[in-house]
Amino acid sequence: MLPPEISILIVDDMKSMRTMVKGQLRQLGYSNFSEAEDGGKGFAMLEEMHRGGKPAQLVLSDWNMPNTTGIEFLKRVRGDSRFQNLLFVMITAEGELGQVKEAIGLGVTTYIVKPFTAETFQAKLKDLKLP
Amino acid sequence: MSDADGKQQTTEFLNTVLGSVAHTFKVAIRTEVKPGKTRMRGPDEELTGDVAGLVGLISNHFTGSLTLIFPEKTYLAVMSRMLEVEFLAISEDIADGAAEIMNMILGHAKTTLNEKGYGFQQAIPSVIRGTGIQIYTDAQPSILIPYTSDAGDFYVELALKR
Repeated sequence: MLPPEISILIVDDMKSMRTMVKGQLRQLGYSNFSEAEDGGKGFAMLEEMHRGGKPAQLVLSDWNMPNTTGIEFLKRVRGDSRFQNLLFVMITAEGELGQVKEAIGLGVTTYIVKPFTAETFQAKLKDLKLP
Repeated sequence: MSDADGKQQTTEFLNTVLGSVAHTFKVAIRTEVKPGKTRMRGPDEELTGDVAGLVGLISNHFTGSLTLIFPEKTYLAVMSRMLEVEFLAISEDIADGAAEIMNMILGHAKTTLNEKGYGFQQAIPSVIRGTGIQIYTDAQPSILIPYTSDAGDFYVELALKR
């Protein structure tokens, strides 16, 4: 189980989804959140947090977003030596096998398909460990 | 493509969407929904709601749109269940919820249909809000599915062009 004080970045273009994810995280005892509405802003946020000495330790990202998609965001993250081992969870409605394989191939930590139950979300997070 | 093939694909798409609506509401909103009688929307028939989530459809066989239309009371009940917080008015926290629900429905349907070669492309849903908004589409056929649930009633409209 990840420690409750970890810094979590939630990236989704839908505010309602970010609100829902935060609610589920609070139920698990987490409260240290940052948010971004697409992958480009998410990457900028990661850089800012890293520069500020308080790096994000877990990213929860949607796939289907304008400007920079979640898969493009993942590619940038894994291509940057500062973030190669960052825990990156894709939370997305895109559940086709080819897409899951693509994300795994790019180094996603785990994958949650929407819609998901609170139990599935909790189980996926409980399996995570800080590098 | 023959008319028979087109009709079969429309039926298959419709049945998949029905399943995806039921699945999404059951899992994300913890609500059982019941489709009423599916019918064709009349050419001058008005379709009114307060919040709508809609998404364009592009596939190998047809294009069109899928729309989810809620009256405000149903929408507030649905979002309250989805986020596990009671909402008495449509705030910024839930304003785009109909688009997110549509995102889940389409994603689920697309996964099933693309395994059968439909080739649906990814699309980002939009949301329309306002009191008494009216939804129009120029794509025919337009299929209307009324839904009931203990969160309230709503509609799904499927409009297709081949």
